[in-house]
Amino acid sequence: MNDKPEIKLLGDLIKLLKKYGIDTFSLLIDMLSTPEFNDLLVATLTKTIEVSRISKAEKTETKRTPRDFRSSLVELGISDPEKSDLLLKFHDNLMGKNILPTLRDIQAFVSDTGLPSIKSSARSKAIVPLIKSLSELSLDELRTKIAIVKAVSSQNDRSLEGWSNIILDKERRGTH
Amino acid sequence: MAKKVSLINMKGGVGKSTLTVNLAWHFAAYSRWKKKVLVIDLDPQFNASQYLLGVSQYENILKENTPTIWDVLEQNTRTPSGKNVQLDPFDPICNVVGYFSGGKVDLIPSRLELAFSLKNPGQKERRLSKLVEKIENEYDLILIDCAPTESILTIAAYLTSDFILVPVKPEYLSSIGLPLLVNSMEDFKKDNEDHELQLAGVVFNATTEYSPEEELSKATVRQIAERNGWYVFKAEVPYSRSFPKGAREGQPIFGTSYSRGVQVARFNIFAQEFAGRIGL
Repeated sequence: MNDKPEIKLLGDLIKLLKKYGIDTFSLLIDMLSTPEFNDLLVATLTKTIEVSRISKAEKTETKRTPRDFRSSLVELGISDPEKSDLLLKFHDNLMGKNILPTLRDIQAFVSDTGLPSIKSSARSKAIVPLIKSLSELSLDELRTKIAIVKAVSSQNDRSLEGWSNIILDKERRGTH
Repeated sequence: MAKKVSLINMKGGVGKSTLTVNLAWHFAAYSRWKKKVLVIDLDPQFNASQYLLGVSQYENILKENTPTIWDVLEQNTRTPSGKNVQLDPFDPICNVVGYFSGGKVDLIPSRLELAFSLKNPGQKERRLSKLVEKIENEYDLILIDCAPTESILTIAAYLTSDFILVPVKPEYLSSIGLPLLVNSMEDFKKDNEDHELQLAGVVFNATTEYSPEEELSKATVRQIAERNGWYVFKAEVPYSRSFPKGAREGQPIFGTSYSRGVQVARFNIFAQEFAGRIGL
């Protein structure tokens, strides 16, 4: 077996020749030799490269979004310090998973508070649209909606040890 | 006026508390219901209180001497010091969760000491129904989680309720709880002819659908139900790991990461049938 790439290419070309037939190849040679097709090919390749470049740029921008988004909340403090403070706390608590720890929690919160639904498939991607929706509310509405969110209880709050202490508290039981 | 339903079975471990809490959450949280729900924990084991409150909130209730179901039953009890405590009917109620849509879940918590009330039962059984009369206009649905033994607590639950919901785990010992309940309800009706108490139905809870043993128990339960003219719910509540996880996390099953669409959907189907039976 010869592992040289040019030999592999030749092998593939032979397979394609077998698949499409010699006449199709002759027609392709004629088409490639026309100046119109040459122009079309150049235009198509240029467009493909451009689309690929824009897509990469957008991906980079998305990666930067959380930090930029937080900065925009800080900037909001110049015009509306109270709202900025509330949104920043809410944002930071969301990022730290201190509140609404799952995507389902976020979706339930959005549904319960009548905010526009969020279609993100991951919790991390749902945070920015959620804060954007909240930022469009008046300060009073924002306070009301945020107020219903409960902090995540620590695991200890539901521990067997905690319940055992309550149940076995003889001093307290003696009072009744 | 609220629909008042006791969840009762003379056998423990059939999932009464879990079903009570999840029904409460269901009717309060879903925007198509938006119900104001009160859960009354009438079991000295206080599982519904544990599920709904968590350690810190429950500890605060004890520390701050917030009245519980024990205080409801013990009010007006004469003491050697001559105290004759009369509760404000809203004092023992604590809010568990409120939704923007208007639905909410409140709780009258229980405590271990409720067992002491059973040792001195004199005339306490009507105190709960009297308290509920004063507060029921604030609610759409009142769910009472009962203890699995016949006592004044059972009578108090019957006197307070319009309906009884009987969760049955389809297994041999659990099915035996049903004839005990038949006796209990018949005795109650003889003594309280003027009180209208209807059976919302028997629901198969924590089903697995695989075991022949389970099918045998279901058949036995259906026979007993048919003989007594009791309704058996078409919908069943299948066992799901979401139930124990929900209890540990203080979440309804639709809020746990374990819950699968099909299990939540089956619970919703049961809730819909249950609402139809009680006219919610």
